[in-house]
Amino acid sequence: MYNLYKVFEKEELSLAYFGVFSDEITSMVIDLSESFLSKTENLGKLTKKTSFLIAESFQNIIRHSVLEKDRTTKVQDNKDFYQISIIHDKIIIASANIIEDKHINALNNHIEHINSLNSNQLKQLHLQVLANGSMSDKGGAGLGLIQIVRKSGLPLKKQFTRIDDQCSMLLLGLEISINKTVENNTKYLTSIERHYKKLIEHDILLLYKGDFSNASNSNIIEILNNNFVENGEILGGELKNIILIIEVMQNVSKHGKILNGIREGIFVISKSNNELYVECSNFVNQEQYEALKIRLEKIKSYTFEELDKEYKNTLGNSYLSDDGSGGLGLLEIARLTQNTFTFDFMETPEKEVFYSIKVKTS
Amino acid sequence: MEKLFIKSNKETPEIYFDGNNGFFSISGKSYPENVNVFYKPIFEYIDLYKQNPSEKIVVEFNWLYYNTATSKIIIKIILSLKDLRNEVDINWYYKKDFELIADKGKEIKEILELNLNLIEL
Repeated sequence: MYNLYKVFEKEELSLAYFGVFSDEITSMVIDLSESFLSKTENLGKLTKKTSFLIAESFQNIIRHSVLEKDRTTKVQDNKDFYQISIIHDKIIIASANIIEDKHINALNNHIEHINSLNSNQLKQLHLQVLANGSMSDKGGAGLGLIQIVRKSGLPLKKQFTRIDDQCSMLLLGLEISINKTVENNTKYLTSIERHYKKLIEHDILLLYKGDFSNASNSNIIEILNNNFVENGEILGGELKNIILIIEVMQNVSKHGKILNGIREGIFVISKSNNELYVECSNFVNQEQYEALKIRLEKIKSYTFEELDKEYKNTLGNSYLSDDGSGGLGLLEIARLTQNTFTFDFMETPEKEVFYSIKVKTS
Repeated sequence: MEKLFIKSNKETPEIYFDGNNGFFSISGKSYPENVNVFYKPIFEYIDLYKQNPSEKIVVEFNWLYYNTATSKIIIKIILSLKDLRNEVDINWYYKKDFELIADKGKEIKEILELNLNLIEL
């Protein structure tokens, strides 16, 4: 986990999401992205503009994606992808789509054409598409990319990578400079592609790196909960997973060391052998490390009966610390995972302690 | 006394307390960053209610899910109302298939040794 953290270390905030993109989760991922922006100072008018670009970029993924049922086995390993990152004074929005090769030429020409237009020409094209454009089977009218370039005033960076004999991956990126200096480089697309490959390599479905405040936590939890919902109703059998995710995130958040004014951490959901794993990590203080390690080792040594007994004893006393901790979180994690959760403390070369906790959902 | 109504949020439940009729209802999700902060007005309301409690007390919980810190708050709410009257009706609603929520109700019933009605919706 620490190695993964190092990949994203220079990014103050980063959210990467793989998987099936649907209109239902769009608004939640947009909410989460917007809560990123609210933490970035000096954004001013850019906040609204960036929110718009995030929404369009996201919807673009949905509209150009190859339908799940059409995918070959090989393509199923390459998922649609969305990432937003804040690195110093830049916001980077990127998306990756698996597209059928027969659409590459048209899409490539479309992007190059809109990149070559000035603002007036873009406006004309926008009006023209509005008047004549036909809706695609996924509800797009070819307007999304035009709108992104119009609103951002920036060219859309693109990269096609072949995946198999039928499909390719289209990586699209926008780099928004907060200090308003427009830079024309494509280096960041290479770094996004590196992230994409790293996350695929680790079977990661969602990665969040940044501040572990509750505003971010609750958005992530809501996104994840959406995976446990059917017809708008939470599935009873999934409650355990929802509670596990909440407890893991809040546990790490409570123990997190404040570095550079934020309680930074990394949260990952991965899939391996059809099992979903949730892992959360951050830095802890040296004194917290000792106490936490002893506590975790004690809990891991418990039998189910001992675990149950301590849980009930702790629940029965009314103690709650000032920060709202009741001493039950780790016990709940142990109970819900049949004490199969794992943890790790790693001393970094900078003499910091990096704490990770990992649970298997069911 | 005035009723207390707090609308639910992403991470906090809906609260409906009607002190005049001794009716206290909490429903939804609860995993705020700090339960002490969110539930402070609830305990303030209960303190006020204690000055002139009603004859009958009915407490209703209808949870989707909640974090462990909230479970301590649930215990505190029950105990603070139980201090006032020996007979407090506690209704613990749970949706069909929400066995985990039913189990949590049973656990509270066992720990506090009280009459808690588990009601499947």
